[in-house]
Amino acid sequence: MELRGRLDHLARRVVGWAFARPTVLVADSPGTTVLRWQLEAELDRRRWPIARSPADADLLLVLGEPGPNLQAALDVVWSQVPAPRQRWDIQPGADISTALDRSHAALLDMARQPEPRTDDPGEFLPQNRSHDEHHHDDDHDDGGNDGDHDDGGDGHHHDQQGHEHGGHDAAGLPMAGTAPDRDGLELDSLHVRLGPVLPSWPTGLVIEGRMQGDVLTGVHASWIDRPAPRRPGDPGDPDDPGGLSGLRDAGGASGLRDAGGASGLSDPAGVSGLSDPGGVSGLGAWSDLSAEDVTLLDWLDRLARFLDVAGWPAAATRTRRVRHDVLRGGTVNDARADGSARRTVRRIRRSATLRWSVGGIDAVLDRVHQWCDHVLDGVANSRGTTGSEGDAAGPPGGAAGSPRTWTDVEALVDGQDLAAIRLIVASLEIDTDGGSGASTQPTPSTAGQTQMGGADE
Amino acid sequence: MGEAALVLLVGLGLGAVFAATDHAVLTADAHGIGVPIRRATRLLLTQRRTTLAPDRLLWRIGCVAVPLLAFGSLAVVPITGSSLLSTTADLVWFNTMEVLLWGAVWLAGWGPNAVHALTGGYRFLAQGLAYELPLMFAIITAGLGAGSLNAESVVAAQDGMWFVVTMPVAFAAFLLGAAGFAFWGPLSAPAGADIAGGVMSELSGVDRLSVEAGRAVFLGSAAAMAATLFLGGGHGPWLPGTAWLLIKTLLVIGAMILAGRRMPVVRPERFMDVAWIVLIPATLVQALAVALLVISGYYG
Amino acid sequence: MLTDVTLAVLGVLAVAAGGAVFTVDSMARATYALLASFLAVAGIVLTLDLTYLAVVTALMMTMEMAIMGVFMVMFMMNPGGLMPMTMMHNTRGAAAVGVAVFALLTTGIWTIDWPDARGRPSRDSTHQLAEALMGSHMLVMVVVAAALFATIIAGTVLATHRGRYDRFGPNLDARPPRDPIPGGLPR
Repeated sequence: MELRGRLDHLARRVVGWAFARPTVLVADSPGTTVLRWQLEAELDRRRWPIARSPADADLLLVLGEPGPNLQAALDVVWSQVPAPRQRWDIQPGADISTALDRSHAALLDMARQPEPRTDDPGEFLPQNRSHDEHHHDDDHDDGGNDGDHDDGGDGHHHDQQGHEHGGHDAAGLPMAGTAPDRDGLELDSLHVRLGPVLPSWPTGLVIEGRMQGDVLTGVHASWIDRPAPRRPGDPGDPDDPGGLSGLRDAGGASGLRDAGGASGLSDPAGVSGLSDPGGVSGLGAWSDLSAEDVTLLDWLDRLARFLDVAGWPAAATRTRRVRHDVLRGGTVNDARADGSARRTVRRIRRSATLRWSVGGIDAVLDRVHQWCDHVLDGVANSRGTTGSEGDAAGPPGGAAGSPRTWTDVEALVDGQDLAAIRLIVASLEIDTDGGSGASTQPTPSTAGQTQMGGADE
Repeated sequence: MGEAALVLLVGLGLGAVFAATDHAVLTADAHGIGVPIRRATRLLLTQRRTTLAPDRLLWRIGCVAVPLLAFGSLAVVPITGSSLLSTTADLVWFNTMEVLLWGAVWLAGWGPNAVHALTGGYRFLAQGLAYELPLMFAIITAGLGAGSLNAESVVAAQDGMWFVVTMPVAFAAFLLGAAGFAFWGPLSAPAGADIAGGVMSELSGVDRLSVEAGRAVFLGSAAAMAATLFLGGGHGPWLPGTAWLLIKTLLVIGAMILAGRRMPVVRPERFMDVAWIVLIPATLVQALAVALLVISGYYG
Repeated sequence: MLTDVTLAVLGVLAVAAGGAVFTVDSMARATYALLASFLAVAGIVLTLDLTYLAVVTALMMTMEMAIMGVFMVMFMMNPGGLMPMTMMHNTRGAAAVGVAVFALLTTGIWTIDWPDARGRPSRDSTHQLAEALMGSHMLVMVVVAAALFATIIAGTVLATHRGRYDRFGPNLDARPPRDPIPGGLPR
């Protein structure tokens, strides 16, 4: 009996040790950017790693109040998190540290009393949405032995049937068919949906298209939970609440702008105004952050996320640390933050490998370099000094070659491979707090599984 | 039996060292010594999840094969002066283990029936076509210098001078290839953050442990092989040969991590160009130079 | 004895895996069943102490199958085995050819008067093999290798539908070239 007790005790300690630093998946609802920054700062302080996909997560932390569709997407994400696991909501203004402590304690409890849990990922997929009308005459898929593999007609036929649907459904997932690819080859083609929840992805953005190999064509971009018709190419009406919110306008002049104000979303934490670096509005509880600080934080955030996507985790971590320092100090005048910001950002700005690896895709590199310049300028200005190596920087927010409409974005990413799409999206100044969209950052992936299933939207 | 246990132990040790150092450099956190062990324990305690309509058989084969191949590659490294499997074609054996990884990683990406995982698998093969030939030429260059494909003979041939002196290009190509087949550092696109972890994205529990640990052991094994082929293996004064090999291996690990983490991921299409236009000719010229030295009797 | 058992097991495995190619219902499984068959053959060669041949067989076949798998999956239908499919084509003709070839080979194997082994096997069979294969034919091998490589390149050049005029324009002076994906080096 005593031995049993000791073994139990030992097992409890082992579990406690193993899960001392749980891996965290962060899902941020619209308007929770500052909350996310604070959370990430606290996570870094505790050295709790951020998960790249639900499969590697222990905790799913949902910030703010996600809209219905985002909520549904999060349910799917949650279904993919292996036990032991905890899902925790954190509202703006809540004590982050307490929330983390509690969720961690609950996680340990669950790990110590393992309950068999089997979620069928299929439950969450929209299996039986009426695709049936497409189901006539797919019989040539059945045999595959009658020598018509390369018959171009088949592909076209599928194409006309509706791009998301190449053939049969299997286990609730649409099967891939074949279609002519970018280079004219008859290739396997699958309807794929990126988002709304992915690491370092603007939460709520959904990009759909036909994937062949890893090249996406026929791209359509949209925001989840944004009811009003957003029509690409419309000469955005500034007063249209459902308009092209989400795409931050570079010059700050066009109607694309920031839905932060236009949509009348009232953000509990009051930081919806991020979209406009020139004038941050509604800082609310975070009024100790000056407008410049928030702008600087925003640039640092975008930069860190871009570096994550570009596969430079060391630099991303350092950039994020600078952001934490600025956030904590409440000002960029903090000497340490200043120094490390300069060093970090300069190194990124000068990196020849980054230039070489990322260059050649649209103007991605220019935009990222501009962020670097802005950060360097921001630091310099707040120190009362002027000039930095990047005086090419225009006015804040004036990113080079930024697309202005959703059609532009779709044109940019159409025919690109997954890596390029991720880099392009990460380099755009997309306002995630706007509208009733969703917010930003290292978040779960609704990795392929779910996207294949959620084939229509 | 004892030798097999030694390979297992050294493999796990080197893998843990690699993972811990990598973590420390990545997060600038020097307290990460226990991180790999903690992570392994956590993964053992985590549920093994599945996906919708996976190809479970192939998925499992892929996951299990990664660590097996890693230990298999270490089996031909003469850790104690002699290796577990001493054959007449050690170098090709190492190469084969690493090529079998092509299949294993692709299967790990294919199995879960998920877009990101499959994309990771594709990327791995695409990248393989880039790094594989330079890596092969690098390995064969060491064999050429020694006049033997046996690892122990290659070490013996470096008694007077380490091969790295006359084969610097091959050494660099070998380390680059190691980063490639372990999809790590600048060549980690198959497990990239932009595809949510790619081939790793759907793995949890013991499956993830298998692939992550296998990858770390492979990196440690590759470092040991680099020390064997180019840095004189166990040659060195005062200390026993095993100690020298391990010291050199640790130095190679450190150098790989410091260099590899200084840069972002190189996208496969970029690397492909460099590999075929620069690396392959460079490694061929390196092999030619070594062949001429062999003919001139330079290596004795 | 142990060698015999190993050889028998690997032989059966090779045939079974080869048969599996035609019974599994997914391209990926068919490809990797074929690879398993090749690996079993490599195991047989390894058991016969021809290490170099064995590992090279495993190496080459793995690369080939891994790449072939991708093409099978991308060009063929039903790659994942979520639907019924078959790998059989022209079943009757194939069966006839298969039986005939099998009979021919088996008859040959059992009726040929194989010479008895003379001398002892070399300690380094790899070296011996290299001498036997290459020793007196090095020049031929080198020429053949270059010719084969040239054939591969020529085949690729002929097959690609984008020539240099498509890339560099009618006067071959368009820089950078029009490529769907830019390469990693300046052109």
